[in-house]
Amino acid sequence: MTAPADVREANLPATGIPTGKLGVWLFLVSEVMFFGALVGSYLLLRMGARSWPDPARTLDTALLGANTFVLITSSVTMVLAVRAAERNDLRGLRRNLLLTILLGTTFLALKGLDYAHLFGAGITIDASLFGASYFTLTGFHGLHVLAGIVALASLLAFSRRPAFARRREWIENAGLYWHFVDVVWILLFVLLCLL
Amino acid sequence: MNGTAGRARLLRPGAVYAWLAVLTALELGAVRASIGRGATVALLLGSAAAKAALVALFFMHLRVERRLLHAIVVAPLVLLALFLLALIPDIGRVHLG
Repeated sequence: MTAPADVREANLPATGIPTGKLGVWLFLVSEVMFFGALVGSYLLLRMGARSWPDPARTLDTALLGANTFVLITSSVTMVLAVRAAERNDLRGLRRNLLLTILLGTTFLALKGLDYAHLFGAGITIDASLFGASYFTLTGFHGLHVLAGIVALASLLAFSRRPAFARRREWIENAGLYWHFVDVVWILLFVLLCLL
Repeated sequence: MNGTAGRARLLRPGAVYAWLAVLTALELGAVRASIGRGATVALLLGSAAAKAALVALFFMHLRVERRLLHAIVVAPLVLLALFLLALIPDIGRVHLG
């Protein structure tokens, strides 16, 4: 008997990569250029500035460090969701998708606390170059996290429908996006919050 | 991914997570330790690059993906590096308040 994975391999397009997955990767590389332009602008502003606040004293690095742990943990639960989908383990898939959504929401809630801390210290998007850079970069990243949460919540709801059985690859594609958002934060955390 | 054979070449998610957690703790410790600005910058950038690579290779499965996908990922990274290099001449000239 032919295993389901072998059937999927036999139905691949000429590229050898499922079309949906190829599309997600092409979208992600366009996102690399988007965040690359933002980071490039940040580096130019920071190196051209006469003075720049010490992030370790301006930001709550313990809170932001905890937020980093939250996001990398969500990447692990996303991996477990993808593996559960491959095993046709719907319960495991839903449990791990829900955990990923909750961790993503926790990340945004902690980001809200971070913003409140900065606003309390008089640091806003129009107060300084530091504020403009920090809120622009972390704001766009936060919007990406929010988009990921919406996508995962939609998949969680869709997983209850019979048609989901023919669309399991959507979980892997959503996972690629979620991990990309994690990678962006890993880099932003060091560039904005620690250096 | 290239079938179940490729799966065997991926680290367990728990092992990758442990590495990510250790490197994050190292970053937080490096900021508090007095090891010099140059060493701190090198350590932080190296750690961030290692963490990003771990996620891309093992969670996003790039380690076992096809060469076409590798080319698709590497091309914008090369462009991005060139873009950042092109900014270097401006860094010395732009002075902001």
